[in-house]
Amino acid sequence: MEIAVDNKNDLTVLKLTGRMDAVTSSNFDKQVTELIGKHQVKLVVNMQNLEYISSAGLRSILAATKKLRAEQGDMVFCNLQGHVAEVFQISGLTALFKISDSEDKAVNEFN
Amino acid sequence: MLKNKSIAVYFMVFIFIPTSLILLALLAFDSLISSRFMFKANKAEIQSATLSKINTIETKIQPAKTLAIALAEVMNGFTSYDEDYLDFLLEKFVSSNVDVVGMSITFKPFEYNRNTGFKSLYCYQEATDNGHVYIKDRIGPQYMFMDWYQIPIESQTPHWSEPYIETRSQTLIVTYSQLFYKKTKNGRQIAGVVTADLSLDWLANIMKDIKITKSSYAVLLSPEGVFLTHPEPDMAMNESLFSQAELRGDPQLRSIAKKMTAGETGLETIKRDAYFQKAQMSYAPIALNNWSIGILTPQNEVFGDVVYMFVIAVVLTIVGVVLLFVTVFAVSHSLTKPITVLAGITKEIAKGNLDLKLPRLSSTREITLLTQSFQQMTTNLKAHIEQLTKTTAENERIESELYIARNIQQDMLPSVFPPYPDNPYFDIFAAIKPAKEVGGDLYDFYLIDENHLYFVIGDVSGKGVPASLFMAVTKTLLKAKSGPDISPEKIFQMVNDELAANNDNSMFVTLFLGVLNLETGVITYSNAGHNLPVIITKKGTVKFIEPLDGLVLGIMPGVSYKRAMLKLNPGDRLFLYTDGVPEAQSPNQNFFGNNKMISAIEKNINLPSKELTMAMLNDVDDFSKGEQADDITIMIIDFMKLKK
Repeated sequence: MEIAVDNKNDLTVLKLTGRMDAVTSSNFDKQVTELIGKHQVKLVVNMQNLEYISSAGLRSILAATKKLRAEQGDMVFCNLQGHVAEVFQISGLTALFKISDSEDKAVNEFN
Repeated sequence: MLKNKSIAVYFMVFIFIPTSLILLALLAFDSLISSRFMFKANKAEIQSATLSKINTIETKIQPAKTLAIALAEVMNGFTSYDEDYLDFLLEKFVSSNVDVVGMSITFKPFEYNRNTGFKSLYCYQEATDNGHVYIKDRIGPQYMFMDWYQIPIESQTPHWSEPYIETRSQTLIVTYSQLFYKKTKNGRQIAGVVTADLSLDWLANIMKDIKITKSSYAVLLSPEGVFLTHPEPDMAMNESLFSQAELRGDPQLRSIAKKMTAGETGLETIKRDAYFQKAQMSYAPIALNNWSIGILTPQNEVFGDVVYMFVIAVVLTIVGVVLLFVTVFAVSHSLTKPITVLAGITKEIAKGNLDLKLPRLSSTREITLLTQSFQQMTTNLKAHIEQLTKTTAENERIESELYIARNIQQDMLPSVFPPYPDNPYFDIFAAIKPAKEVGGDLYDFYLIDENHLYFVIGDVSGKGVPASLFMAVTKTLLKAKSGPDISPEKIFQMVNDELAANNDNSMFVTLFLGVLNLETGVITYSNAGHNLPVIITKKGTVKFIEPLDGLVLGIMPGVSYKRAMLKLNPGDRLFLYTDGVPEAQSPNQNFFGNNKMISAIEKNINLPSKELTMAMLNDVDDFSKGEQADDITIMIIDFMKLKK
């Protein structure tokens, strides 16, 4: 899975491409830890190109959100589609996480 | 051919032998060159000595000829002769050279004057206490028969006589005769001979001087081959080279004698001599008076030097070869010794004796490096093996513990099928296939009371030991919180609060929990993020139940859940599963998917639940080609008839 990092003002936008499973989710964990280290705690995660997410991936996201909220930050998801959208729906995480239709709207969530 | 032979052999073949051969070749070449050179040098020396002697002799002899010719020239100018004047001339000439011991003017008959038949004037030198005196004398008519008169007169050419002992002085002399003439009306005619007697007493000494090698000697031959000088005084003037050749029966000597008297120059090897076995004989003529000189050098003395040099060279070569042999051997041994030691110790180490310390071998740099590397390797090997042993022991321990854990987990889940064989109203079949030894999927069921069947299926996030622990906790909590009159969503709420309380790892579990009323066929259920079950009707339709969402359990406390109901008719089945079925991946990363799952159920719909389950599991296994990424669980509830 590839993670493209982009900085917009004081936000960081992560664009995920590929699959998030037990193996690749550790990259996501590392990335988030690194960003927290740089005090970048406002993350937008664009899942336009994420084809699949496993329960391990969900765990990673949950853990990341917890960490960011502990640092007075947050994570907003946008552009969910396909399998990923289904999983979020079924697991009820749509109620738990902040989810937007587009990247711009997600950015606005922080204002 | 050299494979597997010792380095020593290698050295011998490739270093020692070629070098020895080169040495020998050099030796041979060197000997050849030096001997050639020596022979040449010797030959040159002999020849040069010969020529030098010849020169000396000629210088000594020449005056006799010169004086005779000069006097003859004077005589040629006279038309008449004055006796006193002739005596005067003779004395003058004789006194001019100490070696010319006498001269004569000898007339042909009646050439002196018409009246005198025989006339021969003579002057000779005599040594006294005060020096030389010169004495006038006359030679009698017997001169007519002397060689020194007869031969030149008859041959009309100048003549050197054979050496002879002069009667009066008893010395060895040789006489040169030069014709003189008188002018006539028609030209000239022979008037007589002028002679000069040359003493040869210096000859023997000069000839003795020749010393090319230690025992070489020289001989002087007369024109007839008579020994004029010889190391053996008796031979001089008595024997000739010809007579010697006869005596010895040596044809080569004879031919040499012939050549010498013929005035030839040469260098020959003669076989036997009075003094030594083989000799080099160098000969050359004394052109002045047809004598010839021969110098003999013993072969062994000529060769002596060469042989000496050769022997030294051979000895040195042998010493060199032996030294080389010893050196090569020693060097190869010193090289192979540490290697052999190393090999021996390495063998021991290979047997497993890793504690062996390699010796400190002081040897060439390469071998020292090798030894050090070996030691390093051994130490590393030992460390690795220790590590491996520990890890293996650890792994074995873990495996055996995992095996035990698997058994414990299996014992936790109801595994006896059919679970209620005497119960006519329903049947259940469930099968779980963990991805690892222990898994995170769970299912459970039990009769809460005689009319209500509690069942649950769930999936902990992840797999392996962490998931299995969470699964154990979850299953236990669910059973504990369930009971008669407790609705599914309430159970979820309570269990969620418990799970979320001590969950730092963000683990969660999806669950589907239902209670089947055997009297009505109604299932009251709640769903926490789990895959929707499928109803298989008696008629044969296969479809998902109505969606019901709810948050997965364990994330945070205080979450509320919803409840729904569905009705099963007798003969209907409820097909429950975990995401291991739809999310099974083929090797090219395609998902099994819900559609394929539905199709598979439809395909096997006539099979009893157990067989249907097995068929489904096979399909999934085929699809994923044996690579199982997630735990797979299937549970089928058969509602057979209503309880009255």
